[in-house]
Amino acid sequence: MLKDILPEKVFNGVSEIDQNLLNEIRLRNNRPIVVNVSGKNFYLNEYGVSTNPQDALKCDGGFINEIIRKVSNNSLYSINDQLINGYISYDGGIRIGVAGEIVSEHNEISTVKNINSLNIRIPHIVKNCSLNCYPLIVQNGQVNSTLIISSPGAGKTTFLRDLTMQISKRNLSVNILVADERGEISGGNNLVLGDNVDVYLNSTKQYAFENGIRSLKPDVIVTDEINLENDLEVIENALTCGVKVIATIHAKNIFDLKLKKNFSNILNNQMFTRFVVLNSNCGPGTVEGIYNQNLNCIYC
Amino acid sequence: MKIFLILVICISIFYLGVCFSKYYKKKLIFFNNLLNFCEILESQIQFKKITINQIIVENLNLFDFEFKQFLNEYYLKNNYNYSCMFLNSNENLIVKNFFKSLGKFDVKGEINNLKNQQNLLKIKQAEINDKNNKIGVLGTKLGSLCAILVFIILI
Repeated sequence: MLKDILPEKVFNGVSEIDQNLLNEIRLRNNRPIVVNVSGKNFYLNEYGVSTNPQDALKCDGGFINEIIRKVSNNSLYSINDQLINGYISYDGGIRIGVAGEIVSEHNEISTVKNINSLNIRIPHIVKNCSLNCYPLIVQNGQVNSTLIISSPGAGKTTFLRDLTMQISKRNLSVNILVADERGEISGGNNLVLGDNVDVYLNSTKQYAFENGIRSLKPDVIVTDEINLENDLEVIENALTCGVKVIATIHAKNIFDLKLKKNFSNILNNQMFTRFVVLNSNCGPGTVEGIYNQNLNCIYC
Repeated sequence: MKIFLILVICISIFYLGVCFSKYYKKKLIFFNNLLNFCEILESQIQFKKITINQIIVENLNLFDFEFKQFLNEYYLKNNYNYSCMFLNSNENLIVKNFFKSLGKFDVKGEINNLKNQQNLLKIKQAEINDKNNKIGVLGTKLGSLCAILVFIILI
């Protein structure tokens, strides 16, 4: 996958790194290229990683333009909606964060030009990483509505993807709908999540929840990175329709989560009955604790 | 033996005439295909927003051999040195500039670009059509006449 989008020089360096440990490649215009390997940042050179910025590969504007051209397959219009939202999804669940100059028209962002930074995030499938928590999330064939909590890069999506696979594998009668806003959970629909999984790719949560419930009759809806200000209503609506929701949210721990606006609504209405907190202390996806609807720790 | 040789010469002259007219016909068909391709691009970009590569792959069978080959070599295989033998350098440049202009804008910009390109291509198509009617058709007629003339002289 990376070979298809990276300039040759960059790929040569990246190919020297163990792909299972590579998390991110950061390109900033006229700056040395930085890679994140096993949670630590290094400079990238033609032979792999380095701690010396002097021999690091420097990113020129050509690199960024080449990646954008390759990712869009010479069709910028096909990724413009994603660019406006600050990212590009690529095959295999690769997500490329984009920073540049915003172009607006009538107070609406029309595109991003002069792109000067890219953050290429490489997804990993960690088989059975959710298995320890599975018996606490699915009990007697009933799925608990679950909120997965962690700071960015701590393995939320990897955990969510595996949990979806586990539920699908073990409960054929549970229909799962994946509202995959950025193509990360389903790897751009390239990953097989299970025989009873439907995927709404690149759609908003609102569209996927409302139309999914109406037309696909899911038992569980899985979605990534919810926003307590905008998404609460659709989640509440799904729960009142009898659909369970498994979602992820950015927060360092349960205490940080409590500080978030609208979180009291979640607690008071007992919208989620399980809270899984992840950290990256022993590598991404380490389970710090599982809490019930009263925020009592049931697995620490 | 003599008659056989005369026949071969006459057929060759006739064939040359046919080839001459085919040269213009091929150009015309190529530009007709290119304009059809523009329309397909316009509708698919607005409707599905899929990439140009995907549009080409999905619609490749709708086109004639030469245009299909051009799309395959130039766009899908990124062989930017590929040129059509039956197009002159100016025509090849027009076609390549058209392909180079694709995929650089958002949907609205892309459609505007396609409309502009279509106008330019239509002018070229009309020019080729004109030449085909004037010279191309003449090629077959001239070839037949010359063949008959040579047959009468040599027999």
